[in-house]
Amino acid sequence: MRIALTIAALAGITAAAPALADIKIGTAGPLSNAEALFGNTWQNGMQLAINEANAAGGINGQKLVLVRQDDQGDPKQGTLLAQKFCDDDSIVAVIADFNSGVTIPSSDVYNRCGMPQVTNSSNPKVTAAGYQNLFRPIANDFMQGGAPAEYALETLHAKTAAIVHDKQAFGEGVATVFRSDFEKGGGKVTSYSGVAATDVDFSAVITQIKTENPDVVYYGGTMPGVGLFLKQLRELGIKSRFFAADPAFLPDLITTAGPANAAGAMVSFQAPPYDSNPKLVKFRQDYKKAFNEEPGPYSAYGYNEAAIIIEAMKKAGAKVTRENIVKGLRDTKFDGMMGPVEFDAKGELKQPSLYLYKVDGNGFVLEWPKSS
Amino acid sequence: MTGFLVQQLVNALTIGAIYALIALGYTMVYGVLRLINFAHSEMFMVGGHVGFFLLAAAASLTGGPASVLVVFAIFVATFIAVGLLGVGIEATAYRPLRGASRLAPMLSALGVAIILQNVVMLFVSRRPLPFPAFMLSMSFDVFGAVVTLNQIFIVLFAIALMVGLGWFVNATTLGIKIRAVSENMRTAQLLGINVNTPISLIFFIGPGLGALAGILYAGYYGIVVFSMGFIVGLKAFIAAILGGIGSIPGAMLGGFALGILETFGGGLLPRLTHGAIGSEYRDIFAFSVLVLVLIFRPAGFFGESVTEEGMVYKRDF
Repeated sequence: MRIALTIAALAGITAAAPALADIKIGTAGPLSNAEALFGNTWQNGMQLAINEANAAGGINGQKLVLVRQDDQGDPKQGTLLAQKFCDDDSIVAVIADFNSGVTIPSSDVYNRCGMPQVTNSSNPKVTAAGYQNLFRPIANDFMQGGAPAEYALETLHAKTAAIVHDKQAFGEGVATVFRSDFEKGGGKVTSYSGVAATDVDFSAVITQIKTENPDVVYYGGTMPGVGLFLKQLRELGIKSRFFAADPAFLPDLITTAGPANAAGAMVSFQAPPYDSNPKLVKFRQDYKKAFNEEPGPYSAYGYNEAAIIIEAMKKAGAKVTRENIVKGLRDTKFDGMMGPVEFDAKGELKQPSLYLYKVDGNGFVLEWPKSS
Repeated sequence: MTGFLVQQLVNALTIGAIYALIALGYTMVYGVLRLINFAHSEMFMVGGHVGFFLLAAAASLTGGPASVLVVFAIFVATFIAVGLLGVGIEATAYRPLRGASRLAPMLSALGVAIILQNVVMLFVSRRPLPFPAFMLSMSFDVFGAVVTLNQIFIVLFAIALMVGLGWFVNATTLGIKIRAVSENMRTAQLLGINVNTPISLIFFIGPGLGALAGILYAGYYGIVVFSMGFIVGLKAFIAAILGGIGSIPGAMLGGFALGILETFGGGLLPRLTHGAIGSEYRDIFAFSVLVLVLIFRPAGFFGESVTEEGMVYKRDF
């Protein structure tokens, strides 16, 4: 009798358990290296979206949990975490990775296990494999390299440009796009040089650039390289207009180079300022209340990416599985904080947006497009 | 073209001065103990970090950039702090192995280097830290090149330190003891010299100079990171070999020579190959120098060339 009762009780408990199990979303990004500010605030944005979804009742009564991991911007760590997430059946979607150099190899792992992957990486090669489970709700580097070239040619009337890149997937990718767009628009590229991503001494390259006297200097790479490069560029007396890509959209750029040296530098970025539309203003207030700090550069994108997955989960119906979420993501039609979110056949965003900011004093000011 | 060459020369002398200061640490230790102190590159890195924290503390106390006196005091404090660290490392990691084979202290040094790097990475920061400039940013136009006050200071300060070290080693009693122990430790002991004192002194001065080089490097590039010791230390070691390992004037000359070879090589490569090989191959120059020196003249500029007569006098009995 007692045995029968215990078995019945156990059966009751185990039968009840799956219905209340948490739904886990994994995320991997750079949390401890030079891009730690990007990574931590990006994941905070996701957490905000998940908190709001949980407050509204979760998915079919199940709570959402964000599993945060640190890939250190290292492809070796990224692929390890990808395998870890894949092997964990309770993780049904991932928002990974942040750096293009990490996403490209990790996407192979995620594709093999059918994990729906929403990424923040911008290099065009990320979607080149055509994985049906990979989605990119952010402008890619064809836009990020093209917009500065167009601005330099049309607004600044620049004729010559010197390009430097850090030989990494992202940096070299965006520099290549800038180069081809600048040349297509009639400009002349005076030199196209590579440096090591871990270099601190760019004097050899900069001394060479000095003899070329270009109108514009473009640096494709991440912090701290871009900050150090800008500092040494100005210290050697080069006054050309400076362009950099989105990893430079950090206060560290201004502190590393020095406000005097950083003044006037142009940085491309995929999000408009936090006071540019009412949705972003509200997001900023909610973020500050939740985390006691200003939202980071990519917090709004983190929120968007989590919200996109939550929408797809809601469409999945009673059973939230990896396949259902992929299907739901395919059909995303979502009005995000920064514009409509809809994916094309390759998982690219149909209506991407890009902005050019100028360094002014200790912060960034939106320079183009003037009306977002 | 003149401007280009003068600029490269200025860059070369600046980085060469830093290599020379670090190379002194390698060469002094090798001269006395025949030990390649792999942990020395981490003394350079720790010195940069100690300087960073002292400057940050000074800034928070005074509320502004540090004055000349405060900067000088920070230099002295860093020298002493890292010097004591060096003495401590010698006492714990090298002295117990003094009688053992040549390999054991070298491996111990490697272990110490890994420990120091990881301790800083885990307890200080994995991210690069922005190092405040402690020098006024003034620049001068010299024959078409831009020379900053920082660069002039680094070169002059390094030369002053090297001259000071040269005077100390040649004109003081302690210096004589260092040179005696460097020539032959056993004979020096027979003559009544307590070898532990000169050895500890070398492990105080060498890492101290490396630490000052760390602050100069961090102030020049504006950045300090746990991994900065590895490549710079390796190149300084090459400079010490180039100048003749075991010779103090050799380390000084080797440092400047390597700086010039590396900077001119890296700067002229793109011009000579029309952009096919970029300046990022600069490191190849430094390491090619190492290979060539070891093949053709292992003793370097001033090192002791190994001859039959020399062997008789210098052999350890």
